[in-house]
Amino acid sequence: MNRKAAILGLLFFSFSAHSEPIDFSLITKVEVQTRDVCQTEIDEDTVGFKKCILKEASIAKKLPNQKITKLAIYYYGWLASIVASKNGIQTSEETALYFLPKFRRIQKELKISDLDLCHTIQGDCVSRNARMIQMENKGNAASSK
Amino acid sequence: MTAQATAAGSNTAFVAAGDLVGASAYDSAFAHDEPTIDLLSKMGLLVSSVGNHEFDMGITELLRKATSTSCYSGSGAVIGSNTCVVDGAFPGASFQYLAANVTYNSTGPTPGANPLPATFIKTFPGANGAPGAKIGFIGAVLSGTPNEVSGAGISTLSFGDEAAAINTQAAALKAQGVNAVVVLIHQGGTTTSTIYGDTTCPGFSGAIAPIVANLNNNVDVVVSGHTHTDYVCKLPNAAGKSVLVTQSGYYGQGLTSINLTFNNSGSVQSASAINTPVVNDTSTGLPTDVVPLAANSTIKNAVQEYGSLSNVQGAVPIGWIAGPLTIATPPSGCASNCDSGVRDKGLESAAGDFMADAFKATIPGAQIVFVNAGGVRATVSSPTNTYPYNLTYANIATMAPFNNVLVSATMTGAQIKAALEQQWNPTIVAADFAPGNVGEILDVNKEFTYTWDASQPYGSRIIASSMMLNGTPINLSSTYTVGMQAFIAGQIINPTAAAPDGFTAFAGSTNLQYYGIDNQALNAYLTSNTTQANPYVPVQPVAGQFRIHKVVGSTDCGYGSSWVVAGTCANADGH
Repeated sequence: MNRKAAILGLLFFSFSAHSEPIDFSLITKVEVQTRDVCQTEIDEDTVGFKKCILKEASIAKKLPNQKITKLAIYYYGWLASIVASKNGIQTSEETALYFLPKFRRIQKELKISDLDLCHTIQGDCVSRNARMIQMENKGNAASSK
Repeated sequence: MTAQATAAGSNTAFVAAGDLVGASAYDSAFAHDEPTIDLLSKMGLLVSSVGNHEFDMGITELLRKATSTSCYSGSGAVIGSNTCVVDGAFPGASFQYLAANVTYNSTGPTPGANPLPATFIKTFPGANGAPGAKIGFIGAVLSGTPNEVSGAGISTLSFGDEAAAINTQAAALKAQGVNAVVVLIHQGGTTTSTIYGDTTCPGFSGAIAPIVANLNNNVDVVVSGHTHTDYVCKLPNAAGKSVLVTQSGYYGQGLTSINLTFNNSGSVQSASAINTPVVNDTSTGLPTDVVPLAANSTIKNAVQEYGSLSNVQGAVPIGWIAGPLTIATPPSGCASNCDSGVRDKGLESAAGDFMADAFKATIPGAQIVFVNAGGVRATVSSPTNTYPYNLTYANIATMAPFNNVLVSATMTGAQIKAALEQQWNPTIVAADFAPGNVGEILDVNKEFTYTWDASQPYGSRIIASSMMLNGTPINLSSTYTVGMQAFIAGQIINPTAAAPDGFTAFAGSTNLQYYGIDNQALNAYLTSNTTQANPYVPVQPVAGQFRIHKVVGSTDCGYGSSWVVAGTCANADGH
């Protein structure tokens, strides 16, 4: 088992036990809604997109399922940003780093595994989760300097 | 890579999906994007759709570039300097621009007609000298183009439904015997893939999907753009046919290789595509599966020539400043939260004030000028920090790169107040959570001043009695001539357009008049009004205030805890 797989396995283990049922369909629904509202804000950079995500999150504060809703919004904010970063969109890496701890904190609180969260929106979970861990390690390394 | 498309006997065509010009780098922008047109022609581009940016300078300028070899003849044109820069000539486009869903409206010269062709047919060579496949290309651009560009230059045009126009043209192409129909369209979508070149198309979404869903069976391939990403997808049309839909990325960073095969009856048998990153051979540390490309010497030499010419033009001094023209920067402690950490659109800036002064001098009769902070892009200063500093064309191009048309309109004092109130429009300020959203200040000319109270609710922050023009109070029921860039005047030009940056209050203005291009106005102002002994003297707003004042002590903590800087409310930084 290589080191990356070992880290992933550790995270799956630590996030695996749900204390209460999670409505994954709600996460998917909010991700799609967020995409429909904010995706077009990504153009030359992700500045407008970031603002849009934050605005959606501010609305979520008033909803009954605010924690899970904010998780979905921030997760989409991170995902769309790393998708943009593969094409070299300005500020996308910075925006992804901004949203990463925001959804990770809620994800941990709700005890949702990386894989379960990844499955809420289509895509290759191996590369996406590896990117997440890589980014997280990079962020931790930067903050510990 | 494109060389194979131009080789004699090739069965490959090099095509594009728009936004080839407009909002471009100075190396091209300095000569009205003639360099880009020339270079794409030299690269062997065959055909392209127009994109929204092709309309940035209006249909007249697009037609010049697309269909003629005429030099630019608009305001400020100098042959050899900023148009026809190589040997006093513009070679024109050897490729064909297409726009099937763009027609002249009733105010145009030929209502209902397309200003550019809708289609293009290329017959490829077959075996043993026989004709090969006949491919029909259709070009289209997003129907929402009027929401993306200044309305001044496209007022004679209609942008119709994309699918309807494509279906009509596809049927016509089939009637002409084409073997395949390829749509080039400046509209797109996105996937959730984190890998460039992924052909699995996960989680596809975007405006291109419903367009493809409404296409008829005549269309085989859709080459898309606009969304600055890459994908290779098979999307269903209304009849369930799977249509190949591609995008290569943006800024020439990728190339899609599309492969069509035909059966014996001449129909498309298969359509596939892969995306390849375009990486030059000076790059290092590349992944093993990325093949770097050597520069084509003809293109490289031409790029270098245009680069040298732009450097010469960019270095031409145009006027003098006594200090830096600064954009507003975020307060300390807010570097990661405030409008990308580089620029703070919520504060008055010396650069914005300068632009307002210059525009006032340009727009006849203008009494008040508004400059939206989003259009003030960069600080201009002496690289050696010595003043007076002789500004150059390149300096101005970095500060005002959008080539906005200047306009004036008649507004009442009440409308002016309403527009100013919208500087803190909650739909833009993003409720109380987004720390970077602190409103968008409209910088103003030196003759106009006012005070706002941050403690008051949105819509009641401007103190009406404080609005002064040359020291005289603004009368809410009187009318004034107000100048601005066409961007912020979007709803005056087209009342059905989306409100630019949320400013709906300009919509009721009357007597719209058009003037020159904004950065040319800045150049002319500096040339005419400054000397080394008498430079423009910028005043750096203190805590974001100079012409725009905030009630002393009024605080606004409505932007959420993230906007609190060093334990205080936003008041400390001038917002």
